[in-house]
Amino acid sequence: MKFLIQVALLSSMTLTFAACSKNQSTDLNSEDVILKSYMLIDSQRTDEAIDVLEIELSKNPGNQKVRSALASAYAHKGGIRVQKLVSAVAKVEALSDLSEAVLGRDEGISLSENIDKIALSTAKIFSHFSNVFALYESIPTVTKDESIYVSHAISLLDEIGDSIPQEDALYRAILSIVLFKHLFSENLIGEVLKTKFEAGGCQLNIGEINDSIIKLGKLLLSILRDLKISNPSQAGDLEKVSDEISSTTSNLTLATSSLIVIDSAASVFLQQNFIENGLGKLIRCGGD
Amino acid sequence: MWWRLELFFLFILSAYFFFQPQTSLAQSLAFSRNARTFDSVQSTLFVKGMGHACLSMLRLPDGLPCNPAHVPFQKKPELGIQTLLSNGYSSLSNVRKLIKGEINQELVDGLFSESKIIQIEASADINFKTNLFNARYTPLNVKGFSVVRNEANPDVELSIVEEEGFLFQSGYEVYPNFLIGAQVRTLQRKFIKKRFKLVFLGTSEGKDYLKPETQRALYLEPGFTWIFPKLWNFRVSGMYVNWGDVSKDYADFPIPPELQMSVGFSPPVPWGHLDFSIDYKSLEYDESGLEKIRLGMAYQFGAMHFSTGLDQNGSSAGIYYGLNQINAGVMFSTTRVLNENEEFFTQTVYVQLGWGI
Repeated sequence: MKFLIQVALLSSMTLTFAACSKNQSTDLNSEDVILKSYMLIDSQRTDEAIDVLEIELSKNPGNQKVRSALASAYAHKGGIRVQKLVSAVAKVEALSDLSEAVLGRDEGISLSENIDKIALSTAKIFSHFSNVFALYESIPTVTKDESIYVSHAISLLDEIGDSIPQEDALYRAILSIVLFKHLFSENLIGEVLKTKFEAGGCQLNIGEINDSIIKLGKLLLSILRDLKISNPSQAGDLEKVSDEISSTTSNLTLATSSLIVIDSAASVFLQQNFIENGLGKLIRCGGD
Repeated sequence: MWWRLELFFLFILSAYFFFQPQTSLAQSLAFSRNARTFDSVQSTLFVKGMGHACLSMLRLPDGLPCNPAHVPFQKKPELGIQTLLSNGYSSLSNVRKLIKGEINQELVDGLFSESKIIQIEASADINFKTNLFNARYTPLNVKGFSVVRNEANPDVELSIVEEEGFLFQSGYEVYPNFLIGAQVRTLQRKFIKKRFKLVFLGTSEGKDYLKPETQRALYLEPGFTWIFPKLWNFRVSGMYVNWGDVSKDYADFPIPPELQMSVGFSPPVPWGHLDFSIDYKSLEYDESGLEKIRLGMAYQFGAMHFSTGLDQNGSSAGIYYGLNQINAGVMFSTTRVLNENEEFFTQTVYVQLGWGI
C-alpha cells in the first residue's frame, strides 16, 4: 500500500509540473486570435470579432492573415453569409463568353444609333455577368449600410497589395460581386423607382446613371482583375474581356454625357433604349 | 527493500514525462486538431471507451490486446469479426468519394456547406487470437473529421484517412510476471489532411488541393509488461510504436516513433472485475505532454463490459456485451474541438457489432 501512495504522489507531482509548464504559454498568438474571431463570427458576435482583430492588426499591421480575417469580419457585418462559394467561382470560365456580347462604338453612324448599340452591349455585359455567377443569385442583396462594411472589407484586402494570395483575391472578387449587385439594384433600379411617373414615362437622372455605369464598370474590371489573379491560366481571356468592357463602358458614358447636353428628351430615349436592349427587365417604372 | 527499486523506476518514468517537449504552445485554441479528432490509431469500441488507455490492459473483450506482450493471456483460440460505425454515417459515401479522388462540385458542397462539423468512423476487422499469437486483418478503416469555421469566408480543416492493414502479434512470459512481445503491422493508407479556405478550391492552385495522398507502411512494435500480483495486480507496461518504414514521408501526416508507457492496477471488488489504466501515449503527432496522459477504467460483470476514459480533449464511456458468439456494444464520446474561454464539444456515438467462435 505504501508503494501505491508513493506512486500517487509521484503522479501528482508530474501532473502539477506539466500543468505549470503549460500555463506559462497562455498568450494568444495571431493564429489563435484569428481562430477566436472565427468562433465569434460563427456565434454572431461580429463586433467582438472585429475588436479583437483590429487590436491584433494594430500590433501586427503586416500580418496578411489577420487583415484577411478582419475583412471577412466586416463582410459578415455587411450581411455576407457565403456557403456555396466554390460552385459560384467554378463557373469563372463562362466569363470569357462576355467578349461575344461586346460591340464597339462606330463613328460612321448617328449618336442615337451609337447609344442603341453601346447600350445593347452594356446590357448584355451586365445581364450576362449576373447570369454567369450562380453566386449572384445566392447572395442576398445588401442594404446601403451593409454595403459600407462590404466596401471596407474590400478596401482592407486592397491594402494587401500585389502580394495578395489567390484565395483572398477570389474572396475580394466575390465581395465585389455583392457590391456590384447592390449598386446595380440601388443605383439603377432604385433611381428609376424614386422618380415620379409622369406622362407614361420615368424621369431618369442621366448624370447619376452615368456615374453608376462608371462605378459598375470599375467594379467589373476589379472583379476580372481578381479572377485573373486567382486563375492565371485564364488571364489571357479575362484580359481581353477587361479591355472590351473598359472600352464599352467608356463609350457608353461618353454617349450618355452627350445626351445630357444635346436633348432634353434624351432621358426618355435612354430609358426606352435600356428597356429595349435588355436592361428593361431590371428597370421598373411605377412599380411594374 | 524491493519497492525502492520500483520507486526509482517510477521516478525515471516521471522524469521522462516531465522533460518531454511541450510542443503545442498554441494548442489552447487549436482549430480542430486534437488526439480525438485527428487520431491515427485504429481501435475497437472498448478501447475508445477507455479513452485509449489500454496499454496495460491484459485482455480486451472485443479485439486484440493493445500490447503484444499480453498475447499469452488469451485462454482459448477465438476467431471473430467486428464491425464499427459511428454517427455521421450519412457522410460516409461522400468521405469515401473524396478519398478516392472523385471530387466534384456537388461533393464539395455536400461536405462543407451543409454542416459545420463532420465526424465519421467505420471499420471492419477479422481477428484470430490464440495464446501464442494473434492476427488481425482490417479490410476497411475509414476516419473522417472536418470543421468549417467563419461563415463569412469559410475556413476548413479536414482529416480523412482510409486504411487497409494486417497485424500480427506474439508474446512470451520470459520471467514470472514479466512478459515481452512484438507486433508487425502493415498497412496501406490514403489520406487527406488539409486546412484551407473554401474559396481556395476555386483558384488554379486549389484545383488539385484535395487530391488524396497514398502511403504504405511496415512497423515493428515491441512491448513489455511487468506485473506485481500482490499489489492489486499492479502493472507497468511499455511499448515502442511506429518504428518501421513508410513508402513516403508527408509533412501533413507525420507518424513519428514513440515510447508509450502505462501503469494499471485491478483493485478487488465484491462482484465482477475492475481495472484502472493510466497511459502516456500519443494518438496524433502534435500533442503536448499533458495531452498524452489518458485515464481509463474498465469494469466487467458477467457478459457486460463497461469502459470509461478521460483525457484533456474529451471523455468517453461505453458498454459492451459479449455472449458466446454474438457481441454488441455502444459508446458515447465527447470531443473538445475548441476550448479556452469558449468550450465547444462535439458528441459521437459508436456502435459495434461482432460475431465470434
